[in-house]
Amino acid sequence: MINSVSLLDLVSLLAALLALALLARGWRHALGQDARWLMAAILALTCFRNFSNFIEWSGLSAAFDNLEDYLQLLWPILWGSFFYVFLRGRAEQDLLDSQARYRSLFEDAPIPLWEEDFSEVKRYLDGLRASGVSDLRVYLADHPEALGRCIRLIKVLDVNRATLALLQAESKEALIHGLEAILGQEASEVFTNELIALYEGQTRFNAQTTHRSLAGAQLHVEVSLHIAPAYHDTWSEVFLSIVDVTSQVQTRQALWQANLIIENSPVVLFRWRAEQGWPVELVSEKVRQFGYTPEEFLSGAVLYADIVHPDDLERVQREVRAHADSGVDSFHQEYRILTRDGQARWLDDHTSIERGADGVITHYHGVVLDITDRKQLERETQERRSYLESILACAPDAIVTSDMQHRLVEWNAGAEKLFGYSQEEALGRKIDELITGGDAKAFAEATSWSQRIENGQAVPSTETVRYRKDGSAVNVIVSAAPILSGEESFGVVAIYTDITERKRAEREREVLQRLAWELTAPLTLKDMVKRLAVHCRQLFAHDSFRFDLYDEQQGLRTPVYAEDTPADGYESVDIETQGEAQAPQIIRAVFENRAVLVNRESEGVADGLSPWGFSSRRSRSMMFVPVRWQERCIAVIYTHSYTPGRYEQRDLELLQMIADQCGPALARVQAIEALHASESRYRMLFEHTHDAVFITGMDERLLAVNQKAADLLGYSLDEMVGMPARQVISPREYVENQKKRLAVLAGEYLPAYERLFCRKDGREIPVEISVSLVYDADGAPAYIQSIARDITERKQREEEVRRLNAELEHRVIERTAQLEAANKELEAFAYSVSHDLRAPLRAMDGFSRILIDEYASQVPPGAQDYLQRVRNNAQRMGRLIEDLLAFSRLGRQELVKKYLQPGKLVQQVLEELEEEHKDRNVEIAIADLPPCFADPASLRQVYANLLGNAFKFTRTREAARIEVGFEQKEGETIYFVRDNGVGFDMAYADKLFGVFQRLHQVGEYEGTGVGLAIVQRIVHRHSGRVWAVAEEGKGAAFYFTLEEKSHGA
Amino acid sequence: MVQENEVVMLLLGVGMLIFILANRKRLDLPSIGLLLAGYYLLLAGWLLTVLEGLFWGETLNLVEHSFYAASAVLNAAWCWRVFGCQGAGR
Repeated sequence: MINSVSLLDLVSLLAALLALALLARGWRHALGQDARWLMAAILALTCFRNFSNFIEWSGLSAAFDNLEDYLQLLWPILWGSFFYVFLRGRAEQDLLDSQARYRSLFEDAPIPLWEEDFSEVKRYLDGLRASGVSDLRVYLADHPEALGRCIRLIKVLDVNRATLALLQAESKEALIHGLEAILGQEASEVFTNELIALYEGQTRFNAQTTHRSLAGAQLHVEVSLHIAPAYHDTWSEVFLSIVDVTSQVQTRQALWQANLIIENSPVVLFRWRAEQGWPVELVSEKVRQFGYTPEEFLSGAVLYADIVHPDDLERVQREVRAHADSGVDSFHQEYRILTRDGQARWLDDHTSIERGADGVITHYHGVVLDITDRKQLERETQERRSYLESILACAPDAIVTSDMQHRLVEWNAGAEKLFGYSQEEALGRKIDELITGGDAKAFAEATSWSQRIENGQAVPSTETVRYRKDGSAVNVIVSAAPILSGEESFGVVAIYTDITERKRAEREREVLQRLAWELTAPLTLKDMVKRLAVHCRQLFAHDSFRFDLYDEQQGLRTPVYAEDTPADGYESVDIETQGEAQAPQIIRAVFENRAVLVNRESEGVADGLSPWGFSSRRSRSMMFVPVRWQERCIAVIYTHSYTPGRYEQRDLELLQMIADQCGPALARVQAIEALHASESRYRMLFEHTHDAVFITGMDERLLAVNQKAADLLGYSLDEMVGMPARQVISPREYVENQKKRLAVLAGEYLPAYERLFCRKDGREIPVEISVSLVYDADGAPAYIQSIARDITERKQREEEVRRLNAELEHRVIERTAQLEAANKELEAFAYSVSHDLRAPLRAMDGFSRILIDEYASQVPPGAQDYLQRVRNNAQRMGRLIEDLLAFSRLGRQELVKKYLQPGKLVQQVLEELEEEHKDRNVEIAIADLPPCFADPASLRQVYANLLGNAFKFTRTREAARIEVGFEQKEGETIYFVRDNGVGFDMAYADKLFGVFQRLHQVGEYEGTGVGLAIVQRIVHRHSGRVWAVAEEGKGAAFYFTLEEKSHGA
Repeated sequence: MVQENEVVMLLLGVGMLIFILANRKRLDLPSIGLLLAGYYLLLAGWLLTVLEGLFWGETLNLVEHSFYAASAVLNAAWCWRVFGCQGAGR
């Protein structure tokens, strides 16, 4: 029975069947076969299940119920399978579609593509890496064959049509076959880099290189290689694209070359906007030549109008506006600009005008060229033209040009002056006729030169003669040359230089040279002046000539030579000495070293010159010049002419030059003459001196001797001249003489010394000889001059004196011995007398004292006083005897000298004296006395006596001062004792040191008068001196010296 | 009462649903909406088959079969669209 469920199942069944039928109908649809079967299975299963449910729910049968339960499990599986298969089919289809698209793209791509397999290359490189190769570049450099091997390991899988077309290959096989030719050597470096990039793990590589087509054309290509992402491990799928950039490279090269041409060309390209100030839109690099950078213009920092010279800017703007308004497309200007550093440069500007569609000017295009140098050249050319014209006008030479018919076309001022024709007179006339003056020889010469110039040859500078308008000849140097335009001559230029003056100067120079040469000859004064007169006659054609010496100090003129021109020609004339004549004022300047030129208006002028000229009064033109030497006038030259105005200043200067040349020569001649006189005097002295004179050459041979020398040695003069000098020396003194000779040669001064000469007969003669070395003018030793005097007699007298002296000495010794003996006897006598006198004196004193002491009452007071006087005198006589004994002992006492410090002795003495005078106010100053060599006891006695005197004679002073010191004078030590006592009169100083000499009364100052005598004796025994300096009432100073003896002595 | 094969079928169907949803964008069959709608109804039927064993057996069974019928109709419609009207002339 059919219910709703079975009905639904039936509907399902029918729908499934319908679907199945539709599926069957569209079997050939593009749906995948497998999917179609699976959908059919799904629909079949749907049919089966619905059919089973229908018959089950319809109650017809449940036979398929179990089968249905199992089969319906396939239902989701079939659906899943359907979708899976569909998707897989879809993926396969996509892949196929992709492959088809890729293939289509690959084949149809306009870019040449390669599909390659690098797997073998990778294995090879892996092998290298495994073998330890870390730096593939180094390895490939060391093994170049490895690169070729890698190329061969590449498998070209495919190439597209663009590749075949690019490489001009007919087929892929042909391309692969010619692969090495395509890559060539150029690509090997790129391929090396490519391998290194891959070796280092990169998967992409780009480079630009060159390939060659199979037809051989060079191709610039950009190669881009990449490994397909799925093949990074194996490199089995590598794509290579090659972009042909040949045209780009060629374009770039062309652009580069064009740019190079522009940058290397002198022009600068500008593109200005047609706006205020002309802002620059485009400028070439060459603008840097003006110091600006393109960036400055392009950025607008600098406008073109900014660099145009301010003086030209307004003109340029005006011209630009005018050209723009005129409608022209281009125009040309020249103006200046200022460079960056402020220099003005001239520019040549070719400007093109760019207009918009509406005809309005939008831009200017300028091609700018620096023409400063050209402008400079134009200016210089103009200046040179003006310069040449000025030269032509101002040239002192005659410069003329003529056409090929020899007709004058240029005639400058120099030509007018030289030939006397004005320009109007000369132009158009034939030059050969004009200035040859009818001289056939000159005309022939000029004609031959014209022919030579017509042949294109120049005429070198040649001296010749041409003629002035007045017919006078003129010496000229002619230079002529054709004026060429290319190789064709269209005229002649000739230069005539007036050499008249030069000729004259040459003659003057020749005379001066000859005179200078002649003045060097050994001439006498008169000969020299005669030659001078001859040359002056040549130069000045004088009528009279005179030469006087002049003594500036005495103001005397001494005539040397004079000549005059009588009717029969030149001759010498006698003239009077006019030294005493007062020089007229007009030529007084001559003696002050100035030349004088006098031109008389007429003969017989009373100008006082006649006595200074000659007897004739006809002189009209006169020159007076001083002959100078060392700024002094030593002579005067007079040159007179009877022709009025004969001499000019130039002649005077020339004569002064001659006089100046004569000055040194005259001085030399005078010096030679003076030398001759001197030599004569010397010869006289040499010959007549009483001494023997020897002149010895440096070769030790006698050059000259005087007669006295020959007589002294017994030779003749002829024998001695040339004789060795040592031959006259005694052989005993030859060695010593050589030493003296060497000393003289060394320049030493030797005082006169004695020498023994050896006469010809062998006898020796004592001489006193003075030797000196004489030098020549160059300062070199010339000879030795020896003057010897015979001292035989003197020697004899000296021997006699010596003998007498010896005898006298002997007598003195004998007498001295006698005196010493007598002195000793006297001293002994004095001693014994003194000694023996003391006993009676003591007796007199003693008995007198007894009388006074013991018999005072018996002796009247007057007698006592006499006794006391007796006693005092006895005592005084005793002291005198004591001192006399002491003084006497000094003569016999042996001195024991040694070095000692006098200061210590002084201190000892002072200690004793101060004790005696301790109640007195005495200031004592003791200097640090230097040590001396003396007998201590004696020196102590000296100081005791001197200091005792000082104390004694200062007793009247309230503030006594005693100074003990020393002085150093002339290396000598002077000891002194000085006091401010009563002093003494220096008139009695010579008596001071005598025995018993006193300058004061006995009652005034005690003493015996022996103290200073003792001091003197002690000092004398020490080889010293003693003296005193005093002033009465002011004090006295006693000085003494002692024997100086060095410590080392 | 729930039968094991119905549960297994439901689970397989859900697994398929996940597969379909995961590859939905690649399923670019013509009129895929009809096809997928038919499958979704079928899957719903499989769910109802399981559910009817738990409750509302009669009702859910009717709905289940209704879904089956609708699914079959949608399948037929898809076949008509794919193989009938368009694919016949190709």
